[in-house]
Amino acid sequence: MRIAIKLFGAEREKLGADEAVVEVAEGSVDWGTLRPRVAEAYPAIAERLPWCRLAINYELVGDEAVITAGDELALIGAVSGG
Amino acid sequence: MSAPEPIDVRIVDGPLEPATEAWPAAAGAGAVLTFEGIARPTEDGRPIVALDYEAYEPMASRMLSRLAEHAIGRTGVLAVSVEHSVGRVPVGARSFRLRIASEHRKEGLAATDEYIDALKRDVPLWKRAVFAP
Repeated sequence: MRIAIKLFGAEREKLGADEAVVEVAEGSVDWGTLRPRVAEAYPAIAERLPWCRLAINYELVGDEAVITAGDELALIGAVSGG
Repeated sequence: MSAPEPIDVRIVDGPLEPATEAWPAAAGAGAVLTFEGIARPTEDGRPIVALDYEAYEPMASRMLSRLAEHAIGRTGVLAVSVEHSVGRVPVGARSFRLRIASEHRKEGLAATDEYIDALKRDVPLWKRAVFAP
């Protein structure tokens, strides 16, 4: 399964890309399992990942949340609205 | 005529205009609190000319609405109006406006503080300083 995660703010600037893409053999994977794989694939944002949250289909989720094909994913680092 | 909606959330392209229009949803309130965020002229001590705002939509609007629903869940809060800019906001211009109508001052002040804290913690909005050349 191809997993694309939208990037914003500091993470996008660090990576110089709008998304991070990882391939997993499984048909579904939880965020707690996927996060270290993203860190391995993208060392430029690895140190920031423990402080980032994931949104699946526009909802913030925890490590136990399961990602399946077709989900829209976004990495939500430090926000700065207001 | 139907009653005015108690929640109004808007993402606006560019700086916000001054609030001049009447707010029918605030009818019956004893207090209307307005907070406006203004683009400061410096960032980390360096002069800037503007802030560039970005929102992850529709998540940002949904979360702003949810925070408004939560505020209205507080006793005495009657209506919430939120506007937030995306795109470029020049220094001195408004990027954020929160209006909370409540029966009394105290619950309005508390709801305002709580709303802004939650926005700055959770809502997927980002700003980037545009430094002076």
